[in-house]
Amino acid sequence: MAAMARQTVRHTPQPVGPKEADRTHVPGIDGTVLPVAVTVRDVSYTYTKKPFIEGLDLDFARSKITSIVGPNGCGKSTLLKIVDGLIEPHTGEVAINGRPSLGMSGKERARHLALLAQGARPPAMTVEALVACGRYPYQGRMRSHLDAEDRLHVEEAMARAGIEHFRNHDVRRLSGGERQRAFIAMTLAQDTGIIALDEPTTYLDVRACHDIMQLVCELNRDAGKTIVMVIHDLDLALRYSDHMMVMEKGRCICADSVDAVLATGAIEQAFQVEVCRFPSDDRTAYTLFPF
Amino acid sequence: MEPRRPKHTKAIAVAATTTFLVVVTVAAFFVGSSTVGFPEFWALVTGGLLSDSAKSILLNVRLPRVLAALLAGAALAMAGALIQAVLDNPLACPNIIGINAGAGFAVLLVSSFFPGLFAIQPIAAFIGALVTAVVIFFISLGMGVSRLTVVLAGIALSSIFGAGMNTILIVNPDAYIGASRFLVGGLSGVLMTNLVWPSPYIVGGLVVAVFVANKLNIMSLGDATAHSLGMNVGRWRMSLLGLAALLAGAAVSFAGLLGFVGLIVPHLIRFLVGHDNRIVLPLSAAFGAAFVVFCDLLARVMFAPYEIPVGILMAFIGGPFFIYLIIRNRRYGGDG
Repeated sequence: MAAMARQTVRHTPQPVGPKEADRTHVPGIDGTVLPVAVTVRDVSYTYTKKPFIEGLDLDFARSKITSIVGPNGCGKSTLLKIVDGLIEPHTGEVAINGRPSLGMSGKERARHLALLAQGARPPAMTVEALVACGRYPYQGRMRSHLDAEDRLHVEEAMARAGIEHFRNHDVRRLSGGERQRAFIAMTLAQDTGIIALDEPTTYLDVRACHDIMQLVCELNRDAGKTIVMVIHDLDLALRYSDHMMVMEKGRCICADSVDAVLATGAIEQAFQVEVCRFPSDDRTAYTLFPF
Repeated sequence: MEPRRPKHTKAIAVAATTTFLVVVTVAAFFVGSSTVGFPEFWALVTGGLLSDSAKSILLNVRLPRVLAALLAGAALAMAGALIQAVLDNPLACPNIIGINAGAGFAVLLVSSFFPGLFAIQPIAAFIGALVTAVVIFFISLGMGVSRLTVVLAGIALSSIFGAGMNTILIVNPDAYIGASRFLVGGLSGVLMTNLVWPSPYIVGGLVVAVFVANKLNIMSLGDATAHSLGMNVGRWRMSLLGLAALLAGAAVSFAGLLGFVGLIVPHLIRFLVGHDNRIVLPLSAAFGAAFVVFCDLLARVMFAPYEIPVGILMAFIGGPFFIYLIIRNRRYGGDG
């Protein structure tokens, strides 16, 4: 086994400044510019009297994996719900592929962005039937059967997620990892450029977590999907993401490439932990120690 | 967890249900308290020699009764399947959550004020059923509301509407001819004129329900996932609950407070063919129709020459089944 060196990463966080309202590109690593898939402009949302999300202003780069991290109750899942149109922001707007999301019909939006909800409950149906539900945005008001194109997308989605061999299994009988793959296949059948995942590795064992994250990376690398995910496991987020966004108390305190976010110390500030890096060959693991 | 099913279970279930439906429907024509039997029925079908009295019994008594049983059974079973899926509550059905009682109260109310106006009865029943369904729907939306809470709220509403119906019948005993049959649910004395107005609502409602069954499959994924797939969950939930209220209300307008069909039948069908609502809904309607015809036939012959209203027989079967469901709900992940 290759020797591992523990490196402590700790810096002073730099708050993210306001961005131009009409930006279509975001800065990438090494001075490159990246096209924007999702734009969030001056978004605020309140559950009670106190603002829950306040003046959120950010962009998610196209064809990249962006992880949203932050302590419990900081507004990560609420942000994804706003992006998906499940809840309307009280101020500001969200644009998906340059179009305001609230100006789209539900099915139109579902053809641009697929959301795998947090802890999606296993339905009483087969894996194939679940994946076929992903074609709902392409079906007419009264049509419920799949046409040849729908079937092609369902087969491709199952093949890409590696679940063809248990297509006839009841979703409720699957293991947590297999079940999550089936749900990801459903989002793939939606044939969207953007996939949002709300805590995709929750309740999974360590092997299943890495399998799911590797599948996410394959979807990004091979199918060019833009991935936006809320994730609690910082090690997974740091290992498998291109970009990170750190949230704290309804605000974005840092959004940049993984290395740039680590350099700012935003994670330390948000979670009150020390981040230790363990490089090994061409891979890096991260461990966190509470202050 | 449901059992693994053989490959052709759905085809077998469709064939068995169709056979059951045809057999009991034909049998219902030649079984009854009078002496009119199979030879008379066969003579009517083939155009053979038939006495006027036998012809009158077959066409004016048994035909409307069989049609009423078919329509009421299909409508209430479909309404039950819709309500269970929309509320995500296996304990729900039109009579348990008070929809039947709401419809019944509205029917007695308009019968009291506008006697003989059959046309407005199904409309009133629909409004009564819809109001109850909306109240139950909003109760079910409350944070932390369990399945049993919804059932208890339905029982409370049924009690209120029951008190209203009894008040109407005490104040105005002539409000509804055959009121005692109406209150327990029965099909004796139903005339073709009673079916003219409700039947288009039922047939139309059944057709629409079959076409939108896939929406229920999408809803079963949970609100967030259904929304992400582009469904307006709130609008569809209300629409489908309205459809269930239309079906149940139309059935109550002529069959009275016929209970438990909408509880028993969808459970039986799901046990046989699984949870795909594109199969469950049409099969529930077909089996529900056959089941009510069969139970009405039994109710006619069990204590011959006396007849009991089919609603009583339904309660004898449905009551224990409901208790079984409550116990199962508490044992297997039910929320109590």
